[in-house]
Amino acid sequence: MLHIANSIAEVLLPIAYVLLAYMYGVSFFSTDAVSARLKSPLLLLTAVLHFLYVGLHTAEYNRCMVTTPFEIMSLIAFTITLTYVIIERRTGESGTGFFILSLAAVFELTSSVVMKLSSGSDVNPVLSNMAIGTHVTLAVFGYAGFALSAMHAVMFLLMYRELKRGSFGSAYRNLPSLEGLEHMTVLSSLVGFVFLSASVVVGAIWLPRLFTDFSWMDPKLLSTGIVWLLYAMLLLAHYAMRIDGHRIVKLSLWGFGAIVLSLTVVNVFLSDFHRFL
Amino acid sequence: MALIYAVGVNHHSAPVKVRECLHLSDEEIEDFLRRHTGSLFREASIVSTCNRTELYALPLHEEIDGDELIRALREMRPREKFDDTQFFRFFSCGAVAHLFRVASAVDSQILGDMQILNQVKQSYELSVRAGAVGNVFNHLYMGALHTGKRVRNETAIGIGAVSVSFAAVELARKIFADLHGKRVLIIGSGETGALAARHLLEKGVDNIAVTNRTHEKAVALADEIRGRAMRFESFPELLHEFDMIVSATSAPTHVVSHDAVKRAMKKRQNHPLLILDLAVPRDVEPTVNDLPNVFLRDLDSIQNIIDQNLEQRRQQIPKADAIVTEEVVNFFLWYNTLEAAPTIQQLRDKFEQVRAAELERFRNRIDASSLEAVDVLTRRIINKLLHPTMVSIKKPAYDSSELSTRIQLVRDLFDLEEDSGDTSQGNGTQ
Repeated sequence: MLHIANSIAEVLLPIAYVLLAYMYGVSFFSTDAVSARLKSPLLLLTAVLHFLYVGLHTAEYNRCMVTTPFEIMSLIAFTITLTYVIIERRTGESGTGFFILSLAAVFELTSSVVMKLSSGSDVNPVLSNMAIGTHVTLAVFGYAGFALSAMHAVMFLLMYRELKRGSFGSAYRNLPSLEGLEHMTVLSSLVGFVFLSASVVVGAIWLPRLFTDFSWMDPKLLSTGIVWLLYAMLLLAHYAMRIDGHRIVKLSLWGFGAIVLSLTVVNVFLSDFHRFL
Repeated sequence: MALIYAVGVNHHSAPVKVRECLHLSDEEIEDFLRRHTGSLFREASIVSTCNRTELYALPLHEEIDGDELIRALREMRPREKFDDTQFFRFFSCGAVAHLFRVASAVDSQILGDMQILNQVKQSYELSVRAGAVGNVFNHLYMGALHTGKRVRNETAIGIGAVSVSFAAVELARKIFADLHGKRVLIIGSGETGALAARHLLEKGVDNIAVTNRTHEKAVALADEIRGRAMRFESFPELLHEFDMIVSATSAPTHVVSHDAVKRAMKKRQNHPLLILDLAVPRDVEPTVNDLPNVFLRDLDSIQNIIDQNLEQRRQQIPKADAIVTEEVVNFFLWYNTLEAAPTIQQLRDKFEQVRAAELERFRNRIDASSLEAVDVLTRRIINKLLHPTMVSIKKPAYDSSELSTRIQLVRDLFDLEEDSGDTSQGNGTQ
């Protein structure tokens, strides 16, 4: 029964995400009343469905959703969606939805398609450890925050460009103000930074105890350190040095670039002990 | 069925001089409606705004047509000579569709100006006060207001600024999340500068400084908007204090230089600065826009925003018209059923007569409490027997012949006598 429900959710979720991104896209680029009316209820429905899926998946496999890259991708999609639900509910602003939910849809689609292909693969037993589970979950939340920050930074640059050029297109009509986008960029970075810091602390305590071949010079740890430093610089520049505008958002994008590098090239090719997936 | 008429003047039919002359105050409208209700029309209302004075009426009888209604309207200004061609006339579907288009702001001079919906609502309330609203106009206005709301909610016809001052504020709102607390400098206290200052004040900007070559003029405007005046010679060195600058002088050369803004940006740690150059020739050196976080926009680019918004609104007209058509059809589906009203009444009366006669025969045979019970029982039976017939006769008809056939069938079946024939008599008063 649990397996059937889980399988249904696995099929429904990517469909819901694609539909969601489509509706927010139509609503962003045109004035279609149907999409405008249906997008928010569909967003809630998708968030609830994803929440149920996380619960069902955890119950079926008796472990957190952090054991494969594809589970993590789905968890990132869920975190992004949940954060966006809160933003939309609190600000009433849905202009950023297309960008953010498209990102969530990409994560979820990749997760669903590849999870099917790799469903038989073994799970690294170390990931069943509670401390490692917490470490990874915190990192996922942190990276989701940074992803949101990068999306807001992209939107900021789109808006900035339209305002500078005087070509007032879809970004001008639908996105919130530059100040608002900058605020969301910094706020998302702050949330991501807090979670990543917590993840680093938990990892620093537990990883040396769990791995005999632990090394502080592991490329993954170094690249995570660079990411952490970039976001620390961003927050310091904004809050202490009062720097804002496009300089801050560019820092956010540099930070996200470093994350992508850390999660792909470094994780796959260079990391030694710090590779479980 | 009586026809609904719409007559009057608006920006399509008459020049502003005529519209201005025929503009009616609330008191005049109320007086007009009171005077003519029951003598010229059964029900009526007047929508009078700066762009239109329109009379909607359900005439008392079929001989009263649009021309007679126009004559009554013209009598409101007996000394003025109007050209007949300056009045428009609509009737039946045309009249209803016109009111619905007016309420939807599709017919407004500034397309999508949703202020009209409130004005239509006020005209309805005025007619209610004057006792000129019955069943038909109640439905008509509910339909108009519903249509207006639907168009507002389901289309983007009211979205985007379509005047220079609104577009300027819209632009500012795309840079700053909240205009409250932002510091604004107005350079030039002429008509454009003053208008911009007043508009910004209305939108919550409460920290406005004014500068002008003639300092006294700057002081006068600053006093009016509760701002502060600044010496013209000193403003270039104080530019860094402001988040937004509106320049509208008649100076033949630039009054805000690239270097001055560059220095200001350094002092304000590169915080965003919006500069609106509303002057011709331009007041601000165009290369200022190349500086990071400086957004310089001139009249052309503001006009660009307005044009785009207007175009976007124009694209919504087919959607709005589809809603109007849908609601006009809904209104007439209801309106046509009024033709059945006399037949329904006759049918009820006939059944009631039979029931009363039979009850009378039993009056002396049973006691009072039993008679009361039988009275209730027979009433219930009759209601239940009549219900399906009532429902089917009232069912919306898509053309009048279908409804007429249905009515005739009921009349034949129940052997109802022919009524007086003027089915419209009951339309306005039921």
